Amino acid sequence: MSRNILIPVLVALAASSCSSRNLKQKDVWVPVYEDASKAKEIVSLPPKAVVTAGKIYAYRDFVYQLEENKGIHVYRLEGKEPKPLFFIQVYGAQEMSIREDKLYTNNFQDIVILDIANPQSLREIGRLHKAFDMRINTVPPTNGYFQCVDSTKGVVVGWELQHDIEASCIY
Amino acid sequence: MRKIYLIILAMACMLHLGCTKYDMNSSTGKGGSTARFTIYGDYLYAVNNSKLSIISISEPAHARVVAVTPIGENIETIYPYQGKLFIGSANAMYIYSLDDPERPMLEGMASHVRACDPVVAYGNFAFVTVRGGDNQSPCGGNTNALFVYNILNLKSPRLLHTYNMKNPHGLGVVEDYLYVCDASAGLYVFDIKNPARPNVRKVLSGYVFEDVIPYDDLLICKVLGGMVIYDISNPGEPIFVAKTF
Repeated sequence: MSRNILIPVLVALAASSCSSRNLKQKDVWVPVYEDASKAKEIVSLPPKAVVTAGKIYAYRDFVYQLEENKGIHVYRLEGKEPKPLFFIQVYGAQEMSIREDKLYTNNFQDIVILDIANPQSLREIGRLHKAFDMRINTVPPTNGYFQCVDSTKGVVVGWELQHDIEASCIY
Repeated sequence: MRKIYLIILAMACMLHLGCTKYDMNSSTGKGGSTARFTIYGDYLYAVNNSKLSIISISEPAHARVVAVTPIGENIETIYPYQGKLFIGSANAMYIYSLDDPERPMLEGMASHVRACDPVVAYGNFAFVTVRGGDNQSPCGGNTNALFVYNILNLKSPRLLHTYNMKNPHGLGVVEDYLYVCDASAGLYVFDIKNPARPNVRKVLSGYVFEDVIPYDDLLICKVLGGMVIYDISNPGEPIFVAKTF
């Protein structure tokens, strides 16, 4: 069976199994929540290790790599070597582009505009609500069992793999 | 006096027209070939699964969506090149003219391939990687290959050549050379002095290659786990410089 057919079938299974019984499973993806207001906070942090390497970008003597759904790693090219400078926390981030010291990225479905002229104290100077209509973070990173998303707990900012716990959704 | 400078500038631009080396002092940055955002002139172009959003950024603090245009299904990438937008979807490669940057016009498409994923353009040629369903791609089909199109006539791109690969992802082009990421099968360096017949010059291994940005003398690679940088002062012979992980 091709994957094209498999995905809708799994989604259909997921939808139907959400309401059914709870059972302990070996590997379970658990949603990580953040307050809706915190999930939209964009801040500059010290460099972090890359976990899920996302898209890349280059601007002047800087190179960037998205940390999928978490933010942007910023490096400065010293000679030809990239030195970690800092990490811009942008939950839901998957895309970026830069022009004249303004960085355009997505904070979930919002497109945000950041002034990066002074990278230590970056500023959000604009936000286009729901301008990037992609489904982000609504399903776990890989197929399998997961705890169903409860939107009353906040916004899903990531997924954590846990073991031998109950799960009633499957992807 | 100013006029003379402008003429000199125009001549310099014309001389450089065929040159694809990236200027690191440009006011706009450069993304990989698998991007959904791209900036061209005063506009940010963003594609979701089916639509192209055109966002005016002439005043960044007052950026605004000027239009949203339906394109097709399963869009994955957008790539600007000399006044055109190349949009890669699971079913087609679309070429839009930006003569009016607020109203991109469909100029042509190649729909006979299940052309998932990235497109780069080079003179009158476009290179597309096609990744089949057996490689965890949403594109379907069983083709895993690099396609070369002649795009001299934008209205009907003509398929010139197919080079079979294992699991091709992003790609990047400089003068005479094309870099194609074939995941764990390596980074392919093609000689494209004859663009219709890419010729494998060498294959770099050691990482799972996913996308590249040729950036002046550097080749910035997105690989599984982080980023790897090569020196491409000699573009046919990339030399490892550093990695971020």
